[in-house]
Amino acid sequence: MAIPELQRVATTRTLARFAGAVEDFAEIHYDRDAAMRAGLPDVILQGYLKKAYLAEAVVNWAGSPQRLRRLSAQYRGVDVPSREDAPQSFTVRGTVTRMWQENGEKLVEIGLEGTDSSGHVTTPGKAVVALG
Amino acid sequence: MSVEQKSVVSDADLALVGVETPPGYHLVEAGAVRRFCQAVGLTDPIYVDPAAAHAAGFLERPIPAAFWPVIQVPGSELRRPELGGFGTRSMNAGTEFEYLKPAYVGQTLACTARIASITERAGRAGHMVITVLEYTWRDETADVVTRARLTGVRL
Repeated sequence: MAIPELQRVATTRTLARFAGAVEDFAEIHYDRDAAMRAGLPDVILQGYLKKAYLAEAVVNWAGSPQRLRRLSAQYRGVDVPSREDAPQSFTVRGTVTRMWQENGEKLVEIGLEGTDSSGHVTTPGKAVVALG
Repeated sequence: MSVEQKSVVSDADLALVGVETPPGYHLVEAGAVRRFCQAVGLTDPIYVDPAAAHAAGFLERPIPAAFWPVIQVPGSELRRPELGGFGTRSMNAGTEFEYLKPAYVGQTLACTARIASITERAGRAGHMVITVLEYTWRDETADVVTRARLTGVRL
């Protein structure tokens, strides 16, 4: 069973806003020169920004943030922001992979895939959600 | 004949494992949560509007699941292993969060950090050192509300 897909378009403005919101000012997220000196193709999306998208997809499906018991993400590939001349999006897909009972709670595990515009899974993850 | 990389993790590095920092205290501010929601495009009013939170059955505005990095600041700097100066690149390989008790906007939470493990491995890209940092947030009654494990790779 699949959870509804979530698609987000992150621009350089999104990255700057997120840097300010979490007070993490690593240059590779807002300074293209610094990113390229570090061997990257452009500035890159923060891992925690991508994780926020994974969380949102799961919470939308679960119906409440308080049903979330665990959330993990692996940063296997980089994602670049969407630019006018090179539109990009980040899509989260999820599938229920396991159901079980623990301490009187019905739990489900969701396998997550955060993918870039070309369909490459850059950010796999896993969530555990308690059903009501 | 392959040359095996000698361990770069010293006894002094290993002695850092498990040593917890003093707590850093964070009031979960409504403005910080609002800025976070705007940055990630989270539009559900339960995070920013007390009336919407109450109407949806919450005691108060819940903390967004991915908000924790904002208050991921222990009471003093976590001492990192020196690894004998090994490596030229550090990567954030992944994070895992456990949500153990509901927490709300307006609470004051205590954040501590410790190194959970340091391991070495021969990977495709050569020798690598994997350090797992653990952050723990406790509420006013000292209950653990959230725990995070961050895996960093040095190579």
